[in-house]
Amino acid sequence: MKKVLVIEDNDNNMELITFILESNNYQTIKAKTGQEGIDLAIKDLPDFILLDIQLPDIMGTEVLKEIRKNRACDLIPIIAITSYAMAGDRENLLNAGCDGYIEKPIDPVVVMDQIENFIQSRSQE
Amino acid sequence: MLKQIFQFTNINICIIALLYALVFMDNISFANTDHPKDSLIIRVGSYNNRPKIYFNESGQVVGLFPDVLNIIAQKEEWKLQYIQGSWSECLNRLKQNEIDIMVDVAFSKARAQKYIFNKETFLVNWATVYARKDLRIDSLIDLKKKRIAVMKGSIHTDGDNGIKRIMYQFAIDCDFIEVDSYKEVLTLISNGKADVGVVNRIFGSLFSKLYDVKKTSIIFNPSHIKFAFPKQSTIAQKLIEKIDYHLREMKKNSDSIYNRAIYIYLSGLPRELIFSKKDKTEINNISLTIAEKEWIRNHPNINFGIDPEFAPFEFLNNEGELNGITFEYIKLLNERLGLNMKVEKNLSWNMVISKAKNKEIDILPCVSITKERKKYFKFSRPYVNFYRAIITRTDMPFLTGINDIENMTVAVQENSSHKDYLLEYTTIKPIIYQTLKDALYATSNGNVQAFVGNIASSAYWIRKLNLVNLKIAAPTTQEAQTLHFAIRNDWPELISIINKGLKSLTPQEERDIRKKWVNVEYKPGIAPGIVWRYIFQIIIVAGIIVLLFLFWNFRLKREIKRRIQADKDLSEANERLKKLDQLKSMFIASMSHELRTPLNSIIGFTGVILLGMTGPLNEKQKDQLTRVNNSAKHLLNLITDVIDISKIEAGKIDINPQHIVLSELVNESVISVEPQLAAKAIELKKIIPDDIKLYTDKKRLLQCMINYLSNAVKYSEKGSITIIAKKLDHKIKISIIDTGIGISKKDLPKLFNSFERLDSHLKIKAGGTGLGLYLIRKLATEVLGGNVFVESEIGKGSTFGLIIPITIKLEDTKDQTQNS
Repeated sequence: MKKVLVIEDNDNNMELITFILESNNYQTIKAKTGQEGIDLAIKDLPDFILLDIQLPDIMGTEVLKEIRKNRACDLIPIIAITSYAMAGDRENLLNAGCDGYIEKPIDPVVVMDQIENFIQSRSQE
Repeated sequence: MLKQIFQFTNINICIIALLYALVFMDNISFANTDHPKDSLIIRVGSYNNRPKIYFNESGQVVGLFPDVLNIIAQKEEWKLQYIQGSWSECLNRLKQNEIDIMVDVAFSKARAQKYIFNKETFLVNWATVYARKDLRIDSLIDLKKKRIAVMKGSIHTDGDNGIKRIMYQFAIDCDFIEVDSYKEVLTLISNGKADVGVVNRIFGSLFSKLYDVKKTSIIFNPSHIKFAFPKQSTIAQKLIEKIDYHLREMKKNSDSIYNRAIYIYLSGLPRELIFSKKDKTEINNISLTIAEKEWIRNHPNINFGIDPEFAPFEFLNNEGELNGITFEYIKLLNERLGLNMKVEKNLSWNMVISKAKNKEIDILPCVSITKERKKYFKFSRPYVNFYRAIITRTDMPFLTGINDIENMTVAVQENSSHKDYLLEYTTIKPIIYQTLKDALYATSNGNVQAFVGNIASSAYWIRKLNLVNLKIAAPTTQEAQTLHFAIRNDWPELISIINKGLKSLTPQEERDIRKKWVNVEYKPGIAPGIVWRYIFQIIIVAGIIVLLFLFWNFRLKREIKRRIQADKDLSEANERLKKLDQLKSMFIASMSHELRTPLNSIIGFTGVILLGMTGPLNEKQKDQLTRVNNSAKHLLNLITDVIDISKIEAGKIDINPQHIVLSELVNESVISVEPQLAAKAIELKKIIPDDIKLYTDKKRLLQCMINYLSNAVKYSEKGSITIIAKKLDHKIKISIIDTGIGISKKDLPKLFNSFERLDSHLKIKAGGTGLGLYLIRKLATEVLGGNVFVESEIGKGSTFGLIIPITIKLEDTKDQTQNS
């Protein structure tokens, strides 16, 4: 079973995403803060990471960079979850090393496809 | 008979002898029998009035009158007895015939009633006004409101022509202070208790030097001083006859005791000199050699010639009399040297020069030395200076010296040293005028540009002729030029004599002469008046320039201040705008996040449930949850629209161009409205060439398409919706044609405005915020770089569309942003 690290501070969002993922046979690891997310990423080496960009403690882009610093985490696809945010975010995210992004609100119908698309593209490289 | 004849003869002889005695001895006087032959004893009234009559240390009666009277008495073998008394006592005695003659009596009609006077005037006396040294008293008018000291009882005070009468007649207001003597008059002036005072000329000339006073030129009340005799005197006529005769003779002889006495007494010189063998030259410390004295005696008549216009040195006044500095010198020299230099009148200067060269005229008393003149004349030592100057009109520019007029037309007087100077020392060819006046007139009229001449004489004539447009522009040099006596060169002795005479003048005497004739002392240099005028003008001009400058400065400063303020305001406004902008951005960002977050949950969870992921649902549950889900999505749309518009308006919209195949995008957009289409049974037609490819923002184009389609569906109840895409040059025209309710012409312009929702029966059913078309317009113009259009007709349907560039260029979008 594949492991997914979800870094999200909002309870409802966390519940929604993890429910969808688990319904699709993924094992979920939950992190509520950026720091926690970084630690768990390094510790558990999940198969991919879903990262909420609007985190309370560290900027999402920072978290991205921190995780990527760790060589072990090099190959882990990271997908950013953004909430239709400001101009420039997209570039920053891509530059910081994320493999794709999903816009909130999450559409349960299509979200899995989106995720799987991104994962595959990373592993194909 | 014989006895009778003898007696008769005796008597006859006696008678004859007696007759003989009577005939030949008629000049025997029977009055006095006890004095030697023919001596007359004359009792002379004597009082104390130095220097006219007074006692010397040895107790002798001396003075002007006694000294002269004594000489006459000597000649006539009279014996004089001086009987002392006061003035009034003497007059009384005269009346009573107790004395035979009184000296120093001023003739008046009144006195002529009381006494007999001789004919020859001994001396003319008059009153002189002396004044405080600091006052300027030129005429009687200047005595107005002054305190005048006068001697009580003097005819100069109270007489018919005395000062009181005169002031009354002239109606001049003044105060009289009466004192007992002339001494006190001068004393009062000295210590300031009086402003002016009246003394007689003799007293004044002798004693005024002892007081702190100065002589004014005011004189009045001339009185002829003569000898007076008692009316009843028997010897009066005889005395008068003799005295008049001697006086006449003595007056003619310049070396007589009479003349010497007057000279000596009035100059205050020692009395002994009257009688000494010394002549006047010795009196004045002039030591002439015997040869020189002889020369003087052998040349009793010397003539000199003058330039009649050479004021103030030598010139003729209105009455044709000789005046000037030189004249004073000549007078003095004549007196002191015993010369008799006389002026040749009625000659022009040129004539004088030529006569002098011919030795018809002996002296030119006031000339400067020139090479030309040296040929004909010998020169005395210099006795007066002058400055040679350039005279121009006042409107000529400022000159500094002779160099400045090198190229001008210069006038000069014929036969003047100035002409020789110009010819000798400059390259100027002077234009010659015959007289000084002519030359000045020529300069004033502009016939010449400048005149070179003597400063003093030029200034005199400029004033006299009132040539107000002339000025003394500059001196030719800083040195003074000298004037000399020029004497015919075959009379070398006269040079020596004249020089000795000139030497005898004291500095005070020379100063007095100059002061009398020259009002203006010329000091080389620029007249302070002119300097000040120039300085003043320059200051004014400079002042104006400075004022203008300051004014300009002030205005500039004000402008700068204003600009700085405006700048500040601008930057403040900018700051505020920036802050607002930041706030907006933050607002948008937080709005975005905050509003959507709960919606995420609602849409997400209801979606998950509806997918059956949480378990089976019954129909009701499905239905109701679907409604919730839809509502949430609708709300999301609204929020998104609002945020989009905010972003566009804030200029914060992201533009992400990518390569799109138009037909694919259209297909994608149709998917979102398919349910509604199906529900209303509206047919969808597409005419999109497959090969149209765009490089633009996919998301936003999609948004526009979906919005348009959504509208088309909302406002149609039947019929079809056709999507057509056409290439136009570098642009694509996409049209969405519906067969809906259409839009009236008047509503067309408002369509794309924000919050516009047209009234129609479908309004409420259609929903929407009124932002759809506004957003499309904004997106089309500011993101896609194109434009929107619409055509419609009520009841017939509408055509909405976009025209956008195939390849989006950032400049296009930016421009739109600024224009909106």
